[in-house]
Amino acid sequence: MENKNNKVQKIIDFLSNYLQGKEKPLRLALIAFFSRGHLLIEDLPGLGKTTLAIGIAKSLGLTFGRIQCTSDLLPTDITGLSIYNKTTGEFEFHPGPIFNNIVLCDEINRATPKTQSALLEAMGEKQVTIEGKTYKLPRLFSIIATQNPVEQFGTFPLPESQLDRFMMKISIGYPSNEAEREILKIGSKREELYYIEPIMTKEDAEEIQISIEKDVYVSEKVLDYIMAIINKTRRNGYITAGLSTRGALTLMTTAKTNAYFHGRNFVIPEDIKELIEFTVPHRVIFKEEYESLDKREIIKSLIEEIPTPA
Amino acid sequence: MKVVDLKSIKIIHIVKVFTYAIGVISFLSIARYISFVYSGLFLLIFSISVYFEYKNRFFIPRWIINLFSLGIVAYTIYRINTDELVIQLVEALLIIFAVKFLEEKKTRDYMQIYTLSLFLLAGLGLLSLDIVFSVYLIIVVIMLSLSSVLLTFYSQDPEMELDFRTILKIIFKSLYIPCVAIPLTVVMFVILPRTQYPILNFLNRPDKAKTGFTESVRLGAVSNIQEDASIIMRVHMERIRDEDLYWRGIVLDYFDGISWKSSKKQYLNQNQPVIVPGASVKQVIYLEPYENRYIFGLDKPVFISLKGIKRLEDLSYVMPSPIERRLRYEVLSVMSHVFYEHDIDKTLYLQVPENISERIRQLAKILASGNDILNNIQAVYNFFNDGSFRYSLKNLPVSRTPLEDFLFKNKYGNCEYFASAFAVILRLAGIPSRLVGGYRGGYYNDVGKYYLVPQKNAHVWVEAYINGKGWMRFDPTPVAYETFGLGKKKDIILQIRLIMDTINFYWYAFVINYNLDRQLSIAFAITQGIKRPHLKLDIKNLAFIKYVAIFLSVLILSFFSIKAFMRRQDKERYMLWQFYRRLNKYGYKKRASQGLEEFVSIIKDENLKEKAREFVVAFEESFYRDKKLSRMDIKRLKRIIKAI
Repeated sequence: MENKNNKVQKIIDFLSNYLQGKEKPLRLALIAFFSRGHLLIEDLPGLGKTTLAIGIAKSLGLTFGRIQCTSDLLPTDITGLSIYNKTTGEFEFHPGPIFNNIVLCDEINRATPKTQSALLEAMGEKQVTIEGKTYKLPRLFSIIATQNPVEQFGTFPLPESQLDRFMMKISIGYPSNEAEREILKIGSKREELYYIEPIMTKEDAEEIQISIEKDVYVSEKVLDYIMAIINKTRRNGYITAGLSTRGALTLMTTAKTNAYFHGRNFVIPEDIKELIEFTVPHRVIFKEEYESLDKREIIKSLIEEIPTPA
Repeated sequence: MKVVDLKSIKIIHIVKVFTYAIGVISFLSIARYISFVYSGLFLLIFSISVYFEYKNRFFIPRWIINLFSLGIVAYTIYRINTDELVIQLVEALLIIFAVKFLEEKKTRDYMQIYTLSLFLLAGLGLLSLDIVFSVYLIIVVIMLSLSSVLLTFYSQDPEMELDFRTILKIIFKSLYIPCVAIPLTVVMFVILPRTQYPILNFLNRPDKAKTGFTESVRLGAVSNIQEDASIIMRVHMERIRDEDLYWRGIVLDYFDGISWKSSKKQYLNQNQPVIVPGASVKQVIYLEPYENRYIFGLDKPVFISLKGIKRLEDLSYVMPSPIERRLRYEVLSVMSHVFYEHDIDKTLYLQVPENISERIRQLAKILASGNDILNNIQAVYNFFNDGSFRYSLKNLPVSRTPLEDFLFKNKYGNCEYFASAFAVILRLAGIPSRLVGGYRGGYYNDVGKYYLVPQKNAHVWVEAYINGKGWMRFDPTPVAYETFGLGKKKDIILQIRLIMDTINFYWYAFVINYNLDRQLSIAFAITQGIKRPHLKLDIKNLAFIKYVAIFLSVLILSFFSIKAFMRRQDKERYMLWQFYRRLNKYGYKKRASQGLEEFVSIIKDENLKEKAREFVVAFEESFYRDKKLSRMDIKRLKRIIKAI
């Protein structure tokens, strides 16, 4: 446990060299990945989303695929398609970019609903169906989707049901002054990222995922605490639709991973609290009059009303 | 597949066999004293537990057993009854004992079973003092010591197996313990209840004379008398006037010039009534052992309830042998100065030594010159109490003519001098008189409602016979009553001593009960409907016992319920509470919504933070893993909290 945990820390330390000032998003992205979940990054362009995705993929020895969403993007552009091979006289399946371990899906809100739902199936079922044939996606599979909050024209905002499929919604934010200065001085290190040696193998990563699932203990008290949080989101004056059961599961799995990252094999309430602003706000629907408020702050204040087990 | 050595035996099996054997023996030892209902219940529970043990691994949960035991305790208290106190307690113990077998037994449960068996044995000791007790004692002690030795092996490794020879070796080795312990126990058992003094005290017994009761009064032998503050008796009774506090012991009638002795007298039938006018007072006396056979009672004792006691015609009471152990007896006394006896042996009570000095004869003549006997006595009394004589325990005249020295030379002495001189002068004046030895006064303990009489209150006074009236009490010693107190009332040490003595008193009165055989025989007698008027148990005492029982049971119940309440999980809460309290002192208060680590991270003082974190990490380790705090964990957490 200790040993593997060190590896996680190593990845964070190592990638920090390339992603100056993005330790927090990096950590969150890794939590989402090791929790077998998907990540939605809502941010302005040019803040290093792609770098982050590539960094994770490369350092873990994983394959990386990229989808640039536009309104004319077709579902088959994502999933791949069968092409007739003249020499064999058969249709051959050419897998799309989704058949990678880490898939960066840029500006997801610009894709048409049809394409979005193709992506949705892939995210939820970890498989794609093309021409009646079902193809399994790799066991290690995580989508990092981005969306641009500013441009509203010609976009198709993700419906709530789809947002719920993302384990966490984060934003990277501007780097700190020193970090940005450093970037200007040395230049972007993205190029180098393509050539780095992986710190762990695919198998290691998988092992960690399994270890988190099996070895991290969630006590009755913490379950009670999670139940209290769920009930709080369902019964209060700000929210019309509270957390789904999938949301509740997310709270637990992300907490487990967070505990693992902290070197523990049991969950404490802080593991949940730390992530609450990334796991909850995009899953719940606020009443119209509160739409304009900072949703993260509302959720945080709700959590502050729930006593911890100890 | 493991090769099983046929000869090897699991330690636990032997422990079990021993434990169940102890159960059977304990039951057999008390079976004939308890009611058959309890015997049946015991046998039922016991055989069920044997069945469980033999057949499968099913055990009744601990909480049910505890609840049941509590129920038994409550029921016992409910039906408690002083007459059969011991039997009832033994019955309750037996059932708790049986129930204990039903449990899934760990090392401590075995130890509890052994302890209970010892209690049962103690109960047997209270029920029967015959030789059967020692037989059971020896058997149980041997089995217990063997079993506990084997149990230590078991506690090291529950699965331990040993071959037959090793086990025999262990058993023989552990037999040393009872072999040494039993003879010692027997010695203790024989000696201890009979003496209140440390056994080896005779090695440094002082040669100095001490105040205290003696069979004869000897003058002029010692010059200094030490005051002995040890207690001779405790007298449970209502408070009476200080002037009436004379505890009658021996009557001395023969004076040889130096010492007074008691001549042989006729024993009287106790049942023959004694006619004494006055108010009667009942006392319960707890007499400490001392070297003589005289039994004390408030002057004038008319009835003393003791087996084998003899009453002498001079109204003193004597046992056939010296008092070697604490005695409890009841006395009926009549408070009166006068004791009527219509026919006395005048030559006996007018005897004076032949060689008595002429000066004393002259003195008697001068003092008792009148015709009225009472006036004459008063004159003699005044002679000693007009201020020319003083009371002293120091520098007493050591001589062959102590009386003369006292009367004409030194003019001071202790009560023996005064009483001797007084009686001799009366006798010379033709008034029959005698010395009465006993105790004077005592300190009344308001809490325990009893008089505390120390050895130093030993006293001698005079009885003079007046025709037509009888024996009248005169105390010529010119000393204030306060001398017979214990000291100043405000003395804190004295107060503490008195409180301690009160506890002692109740211990003696209700637990040790002095003569247990007799107590039990009284209990049986009462249950059989034979009621003797003098031996009725005091209703007040009964009520007292009930209150004590209720109080104790409330105490025990609350203890158990608190303990049940404070099970392991609540221990976690308790540790947390202590942790919060500690940090509160530093001004850090945890909000309810804060997690522990979150809370600790706000601490500014690095040192404190480090210590607090240590606690949090150690605590979370078990708390968030739903583990019960082990004893080690609790110890560790406590240590960390202390360091904060």
